[in-house]
Amino acid sequence: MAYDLDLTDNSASLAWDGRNKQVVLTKEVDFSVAANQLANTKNMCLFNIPEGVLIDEVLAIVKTADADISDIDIGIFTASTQAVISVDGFVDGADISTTGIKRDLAGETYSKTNGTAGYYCTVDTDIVVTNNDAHTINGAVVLFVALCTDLR
Amino acid sequence: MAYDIDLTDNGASLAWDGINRQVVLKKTVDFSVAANNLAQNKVAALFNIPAGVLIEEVLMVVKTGDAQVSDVHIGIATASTQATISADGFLNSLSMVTAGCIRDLAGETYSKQDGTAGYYTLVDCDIILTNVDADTINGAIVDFFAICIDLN
Repeated sequence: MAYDLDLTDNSASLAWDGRNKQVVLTKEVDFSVAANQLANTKNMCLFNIPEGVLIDEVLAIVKTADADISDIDIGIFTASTQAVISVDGFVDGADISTTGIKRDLAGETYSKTNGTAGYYCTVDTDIVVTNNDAHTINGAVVLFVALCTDLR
Repeated sequence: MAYDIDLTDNGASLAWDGINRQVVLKKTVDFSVAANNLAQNKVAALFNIPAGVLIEEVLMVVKTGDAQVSDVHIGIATASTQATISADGFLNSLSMVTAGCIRDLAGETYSKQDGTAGYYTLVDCDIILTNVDADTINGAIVDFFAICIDLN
């Protein structure tokens, strides 16, 4: 068989300009700092993600736990308007009362295993954590991680 | 316990030669260009992929839709013979009608969620697009992406 249309460069190699497109964004937040304390229903913007990027996953690594907090969400908002797209599309109801890695692989809108396996940003987008717990987050130290693929 | 054989370098670090192994290949195709028009059952080769690469996912971002084309496949062929391995292992009967990010996460041979989560190239391979629709693709502008891990 011959292809009807050959759009390749006819060299079986992986192009160099395809490298460095997968990005791991990290942000460590010390919620014991007064400015970072987050009361019930309050939200905190963590990352700005440009249009044309696929956010593969967002996870949290709890370095220092906050014994009172068992319900936080991570989702996305439109950057320009700060309007909610999904408040808990990546992480829904995570417990940060214990240390360790917190992932939400199934059951959410953007879950890897049974969701959309990420979110493709059609406009500039923000990743946002929301405290759903009745208590204020004021003791935890959390490393938030966004795994992204640059499709621009 | 002591290992019977220790092949590590005894330094818990990520080796530099493991960097730049994840590659995101991109190809923009303007199907309105006469040379790129793709009639029904015609096949276009998009990317050459060398042996030893795990193609994790192939997706497309439709920038300009083609109102008449709602059935295209993306699969894989052997580079040397252009023989089809799977016509639709990555994307099966998806539409180019509307703009947006088009993925096929479940139900296909190489699907992330319930398939083989990619295809490992035993020999040099080509990623191919097949137009299954009765109408010729002659209006769309599409960014095709192949997300790969170089295992060589």
